[in-house]
Amino acid sequence: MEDHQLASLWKAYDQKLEQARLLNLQSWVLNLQQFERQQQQRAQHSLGSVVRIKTGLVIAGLLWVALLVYLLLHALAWSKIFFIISAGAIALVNLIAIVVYLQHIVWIQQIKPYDSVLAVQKKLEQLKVSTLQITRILFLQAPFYCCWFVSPAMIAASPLAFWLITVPITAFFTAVSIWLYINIKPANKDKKWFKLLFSSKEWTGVLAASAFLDEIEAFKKEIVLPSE
Amino acid sequence: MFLRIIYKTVSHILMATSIDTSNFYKVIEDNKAILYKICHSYCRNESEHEDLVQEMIYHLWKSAESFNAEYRFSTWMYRVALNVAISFYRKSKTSVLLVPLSNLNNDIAASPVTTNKEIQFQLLQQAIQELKELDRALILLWLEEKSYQDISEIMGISETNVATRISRIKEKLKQQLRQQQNI
Repeated sequence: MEDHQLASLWKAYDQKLEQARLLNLQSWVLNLQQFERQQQQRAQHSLGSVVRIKTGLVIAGLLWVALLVYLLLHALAWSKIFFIISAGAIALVNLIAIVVYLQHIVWIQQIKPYDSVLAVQKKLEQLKVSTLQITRILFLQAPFYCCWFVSPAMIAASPLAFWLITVPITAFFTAVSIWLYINIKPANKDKKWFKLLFSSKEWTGVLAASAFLDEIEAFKKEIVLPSE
Repeated sequence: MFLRIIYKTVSHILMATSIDTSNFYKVIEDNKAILYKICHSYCRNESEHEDLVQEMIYHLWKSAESFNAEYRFSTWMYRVALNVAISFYRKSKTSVLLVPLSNLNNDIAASPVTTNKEIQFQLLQQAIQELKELDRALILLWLEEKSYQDISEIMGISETNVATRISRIKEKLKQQLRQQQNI
């Protein structure tokens, strides 16, 4: 089969469309109610709705950080040193996550459907994959939830409980959260622990996006056909 | 069915806004065949057609305000339509199974498939639907007789890359058609 035969087959498509009178605008009928319903559905699924969700998360995050800072400022005493450090660290991690969310909102605003196909698809998939970035950042706050309630007085009163329970648990969560921060990345998506951690349905799209990003990168690379 | 949806969508968008309706209407009118083909290539079933075509027209209309004269109109339109179609396809990619060809062609007059050319055409459509999303976009543009330069601008890759990839895809399609015909 030659190239022109492929093209000729495709041309048959136009003929079929004409024959079937599919392109006859005059035969189409209005249906306002159906359109309005579909408009709503589209709005719910569009990037605009993603911006609204992320804006909501930014506001919620800012309120949480504000509360932590307020509590922290009212707890400035040696007796509450663990609380001060924990609240400060949790506020910082959440602040970083908020900045990343804001960055996502900027990215979304920058996505224009009339940019080249590869550029748009890459931005969209990067946006999905960056959900992993937020997750790994948020894992970093885990150890601070294990020790915020500790006080010097509590340690003096029951040092064994502190050294045998609180310290090991906090150390364990510190090690795990740092390890996850370093290792949660698309490159590890095929590893068992990663699949186990992100096996739920909502992560499927993120992982598929990561695979498509690889595909886009491969697509951009020049390929050399073997010489005949 | 499909084009009735286009008509409904355009009419309602235009009724709801004050943009220059005649120009936009003409744009859709002039390009409805390619919108139809792109839609067919990226939909898994009949029920998705309506959503995809509305999505395409909605984005064309929404982007029309920011249309930049530095682009050629066709480049701009193909970019929007393909971007929307690929994103839509990826969003709805829940099933690996392709829709039976008969379902995909419900819109087309229900004439019995008798000639060898018609069979080959259907096989070609099927083979295109089995390509990866980006390859599918490339071959659609080539079949629509876009130049390598146009395809390169629409896709965002070099002309050399376009040429080599299209050459590979064509070979793959031809091979599949040959195999199907031999079955």
